[in-house]
Amino acid sequence: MMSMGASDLDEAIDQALAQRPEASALACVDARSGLVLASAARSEEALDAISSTGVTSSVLSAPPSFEGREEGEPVPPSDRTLVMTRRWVQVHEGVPGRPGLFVVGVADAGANVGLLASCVRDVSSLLGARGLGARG
Amino acid sequence: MTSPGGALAGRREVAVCSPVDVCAFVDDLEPTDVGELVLESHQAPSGSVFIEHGRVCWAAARGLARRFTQLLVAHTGVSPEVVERVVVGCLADRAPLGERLLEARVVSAEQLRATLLQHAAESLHVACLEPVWGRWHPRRSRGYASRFTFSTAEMLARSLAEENAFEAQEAGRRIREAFDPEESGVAFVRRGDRGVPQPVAVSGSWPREARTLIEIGRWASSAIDVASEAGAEPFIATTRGDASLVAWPAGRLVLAGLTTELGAARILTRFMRSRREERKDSNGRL
Repeated sequence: MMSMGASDLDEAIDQALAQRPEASALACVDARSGLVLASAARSEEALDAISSTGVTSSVLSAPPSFEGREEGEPVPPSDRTLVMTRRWVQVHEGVPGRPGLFVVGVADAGANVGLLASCVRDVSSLLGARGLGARG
Repeated sequence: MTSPGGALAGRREVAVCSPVDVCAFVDDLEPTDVGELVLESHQAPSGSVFIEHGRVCWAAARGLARRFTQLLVAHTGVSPEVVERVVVGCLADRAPLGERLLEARVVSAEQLRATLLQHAAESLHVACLEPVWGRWHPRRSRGYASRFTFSTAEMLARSLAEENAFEAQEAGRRIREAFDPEESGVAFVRRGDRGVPQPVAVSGSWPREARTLIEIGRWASSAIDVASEAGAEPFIATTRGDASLVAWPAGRLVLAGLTTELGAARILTRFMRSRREERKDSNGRL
């Protein structure tokens, strides 16, 4: 499988945003480092909102174990996370086969959460299928 | 002094500054361990906690010798004399008090559980008011019925509720409003004088361990902080497999709970409705 480079990732996120009106901004973030690897937004305000999602994702994707576990046993990251604030709704979805990498979508708080979640899931599946570039 | 790790539990002694340390010690015991953690301050006992298989069965504190009877009378309305008679009989033939109270129909199972929990939580709170040293003494099992024993998470929240009574009451109300009975809800209070959020209410079967409860409080508070916009409080739902962990703030409280993805959507809907109503109320006041 061919893997994507950084410019391919930028292009993929740009294209996804152009094709999916459900999102005001999209990003691919590395939750382990808190870095935003690529992002695209329809407005300055949405760009501001998506720019901080790397750090947000690093905290949100690492909740405690839902079940009992042995001391020191690693806890797997979340599959997906939803954040609702007064201004925005955010959806973070793990990229299949790439632990720690998440696609994040942002939309107005009044937007349809289900449609945004579906959009983000599609983009993360697409990136997973294309063999996202940055190596773990 | 800090919470003990496995090594401290292995030494069977622990420095105790709060009920958190006692519950962490219990979490680190082997599942088969049975015994008593005797809490001592300046060579004088301040209390003790009886533990079977990772659960708290009973706690006692200096100065609270008659408290169980008082609570039982308050919970059931029976006369102190009736309770005293059963207690004296139990002491004479070393029978488990709870079972004897049930047999004598002095108390219902629900009343007994509530009384035992309140008594143990108050005792633990009082025994840990000053820094003490805990020493583990293995004992023979007394065969406590598990329905009348308490997970360390339940015991810790109930014990810390003693010093956060108003918030604990509010937390209990909010948990009942947000979660269905088969779901698990927890609540924490954020205090400026404490480094970590203090658990004050637990409902449902998750989590069992106090250390997981504390981890949930830390994660939920951090998640709320990073997701907050200026003056706006977020609702968070994170999903792994079939389960979703939800968290949101309510003033000084942090609410969290375990549900399904569908349950998270239901709680979010309630959260948004209550936010709309708050907004309407505040507009109405302007």
